[in-house]
Amino acid sequence: MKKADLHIHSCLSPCGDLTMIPSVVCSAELDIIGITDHNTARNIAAFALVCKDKIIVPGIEIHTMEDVHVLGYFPNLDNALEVSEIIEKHTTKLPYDPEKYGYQLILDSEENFVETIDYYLGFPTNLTIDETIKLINENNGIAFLAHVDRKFGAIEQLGFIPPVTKHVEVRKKENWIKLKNEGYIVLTSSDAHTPEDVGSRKIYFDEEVQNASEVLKLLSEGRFKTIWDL
Amino acid sequence: MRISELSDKTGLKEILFCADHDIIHGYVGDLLSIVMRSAKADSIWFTVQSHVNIVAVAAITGVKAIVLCEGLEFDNETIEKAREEGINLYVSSESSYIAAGKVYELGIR
Repeated sequence: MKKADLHIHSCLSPCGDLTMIPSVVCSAELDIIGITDHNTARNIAAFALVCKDKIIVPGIEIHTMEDVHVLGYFPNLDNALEVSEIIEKHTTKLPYDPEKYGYQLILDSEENFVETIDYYLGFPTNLTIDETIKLINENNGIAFLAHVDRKFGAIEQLGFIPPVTKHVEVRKKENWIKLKNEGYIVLTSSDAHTPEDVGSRKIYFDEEVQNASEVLKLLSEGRFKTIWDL
Repeated sequence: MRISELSDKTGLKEILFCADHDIIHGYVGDLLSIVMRSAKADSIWFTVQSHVNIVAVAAITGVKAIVLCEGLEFDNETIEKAREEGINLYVSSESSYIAAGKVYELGIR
């Protein structure tokens, strides 16, 4: 079985610890790693270059206008970067104090900090949930409503799961049971912002996967298990 | 009106007092993307959002006091960030409508 954690923040997310660099994240006992920074895909290249023995799934955690987080997973880096650029155009660029709200650091292939993003990535874009999902799908990706059962999740922000997708991510077992019974495809992941959380919630693939594209196909069809299935 | 007088008269429960700010305007809103462009400086802001981003938005717009309504509770991280930014925090057990209405009645626009 291949072990996957598909919701991990790097040092580029303002809330991501500065130690969330490829060599640290990829030392976890995982075969497949999803890097999902807030509103950007600009650190994924560093992970793809450094973590050669893992399958890196390019992702973005997009913050919609309704203050809901949506995870977009892409088959390759180009698709992710395309979406990342579009998101940037839909973001009000407000300066912020990185000392107070967290540094946003882009790495090179040797894990040096080479650039910062100077506008706050933690704010909502002006994309609605519908527009966000459409944007992800149009760029060959799949969208999951992130952690629907906690803050910045659909249920918390809207009171319900909007009928835009069957793919959701949850934190708690009781919500996994409930949503699976309602016909959703339910993911769980760590949402790690610090090294010790990486891999704290995983999913498992029984079938062979060689790359991100194959991971997406299995994800899309619900061909994976959570710890609660085992 | 000074925030201390305003909160006394309208029954707001103080969570964090940083300074006795002079409040000139009031604002009600929960979608941060809208608050960011509409809230005025030296305002008291009524909301049901409790996460740390409200402090970032308040700092950018110049909001001086945030009231969390409906009997909700601030995250600890929010309180710490508000302390750093000098923004007062209050809670109200009432809805945003009622809590803001009381402040409006005092003449705050």
